[in-house]
Amino acid sequence: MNNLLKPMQIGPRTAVNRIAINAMEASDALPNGDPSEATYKRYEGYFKGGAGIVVLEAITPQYEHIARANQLSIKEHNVPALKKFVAHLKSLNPDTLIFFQITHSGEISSNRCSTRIRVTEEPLPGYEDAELVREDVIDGVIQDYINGAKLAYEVGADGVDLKLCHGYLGCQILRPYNKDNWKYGGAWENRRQFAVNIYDGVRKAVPDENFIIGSKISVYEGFPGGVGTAGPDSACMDLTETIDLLKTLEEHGCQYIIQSAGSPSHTLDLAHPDIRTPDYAYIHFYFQKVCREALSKNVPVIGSACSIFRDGRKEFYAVKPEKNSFAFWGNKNIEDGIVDAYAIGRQAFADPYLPKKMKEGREKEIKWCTLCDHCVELLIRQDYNVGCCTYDKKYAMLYKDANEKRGVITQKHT
Amino acid sequence: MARFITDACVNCGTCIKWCLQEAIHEGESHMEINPDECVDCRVCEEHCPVGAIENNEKI
Repeated sequence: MNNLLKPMQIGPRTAVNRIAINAMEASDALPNGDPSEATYKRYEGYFKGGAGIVVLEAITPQYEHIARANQLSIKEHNVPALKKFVAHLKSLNPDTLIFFQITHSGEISSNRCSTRIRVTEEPLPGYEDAELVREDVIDGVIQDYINGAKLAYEVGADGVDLKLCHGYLGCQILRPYNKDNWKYGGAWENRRQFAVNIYDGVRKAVPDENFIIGSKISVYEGFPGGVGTAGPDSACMDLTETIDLLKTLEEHGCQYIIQSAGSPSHTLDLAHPDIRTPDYAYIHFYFQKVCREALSKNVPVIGSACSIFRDGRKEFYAVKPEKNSFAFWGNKNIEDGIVDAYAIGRQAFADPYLPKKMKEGREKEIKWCTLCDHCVELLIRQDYNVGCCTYDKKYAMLYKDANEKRGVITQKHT
Repeated sequence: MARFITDACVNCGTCIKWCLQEAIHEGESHMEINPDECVDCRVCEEHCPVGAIENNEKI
């Protein structure tokens, strides 16, 4: 049996297989942040498709600073709808675990539907319009994360992903570019304290080990001063702080890590290797290994950036297709102790039934992501519903509509 | 539009079935892609059983 199909322990819980669904923001919540019919449809697919873990996309505990219009929210008024949503998904498949990814978008909030905040006197180039904030606001953000996690527990989620990746606020505070001397800035110990306070607060608010706590992290953001660089003006990779972050999170109750890299707003290809840069996916293997070696064996590492591999039949060189598929690398990298599981994003849009089809030996029926990245283009627009534009007519038409009304995207970032 | 259908096409119609943009039609000798309708999603290339769809995208 392929290692991807074997069960995996996360804290006291068990994922039935090692295929997770990455948090892919689809901008299709109702105006009050509740799940819509379109949200239901997507997540029903993930649950019926038999994934071991589903990470509910970037759900926000506040609505002033959000990355996309129609973002899901987790506030008191959302509790009844989220309770119903989780119960419905569990009725379809009680075995799949659902973790809510709690987020704050910080400086990369959409300045069309919300406002941006930043944590450095000198703004990151491109984010001059963000308002400078300090601990009086950030302590409130930490409390928002804690409140969000508490509500996630209340509505029946199996855990939370306390988002620390992809250029969102968690990354903005962790990165060396957060260089001013303030409560959560300057020295590394100050910057990591943001994450520590969230973890400690969440576990105190939800003292139940069955409620899983973890994070998606960007091991290396790939631009000067980003996470995993040697300093605020350096692009040189130095993973000392990333490794310390992993160890520190584990000390404070982290039960799993989803590995990523890059930031879709700044270094998109590093986060989502595309058809012109497929080889970047191999760099992620190294990042997965770094995470695996930094953490105890009982804290699983879930890798990402693997939609590019598909069935092996795409633009890679110097490798045989049969030794370059998602199934091949998943099996091998788990066997070799590099990673414990993989999460799919774009591929999950293309075919949420991939885990079930793999389990039933129906690999030939899998609709492979064609790597057109049209879903990513809709994501970049920040206010269009997002889904697979290749296999789902609704999103294919939305993609065409977006190009006709606003022109073709020429820059691959928000 | 960066994709085109070559003479290797056997007119099986698989590409027409998969194309959500209805950008493919029967031509004089083989299937053809309407460049005004095609959004380059690559689904035709993905499912063509004879590999008749090629890419003329600039590197």
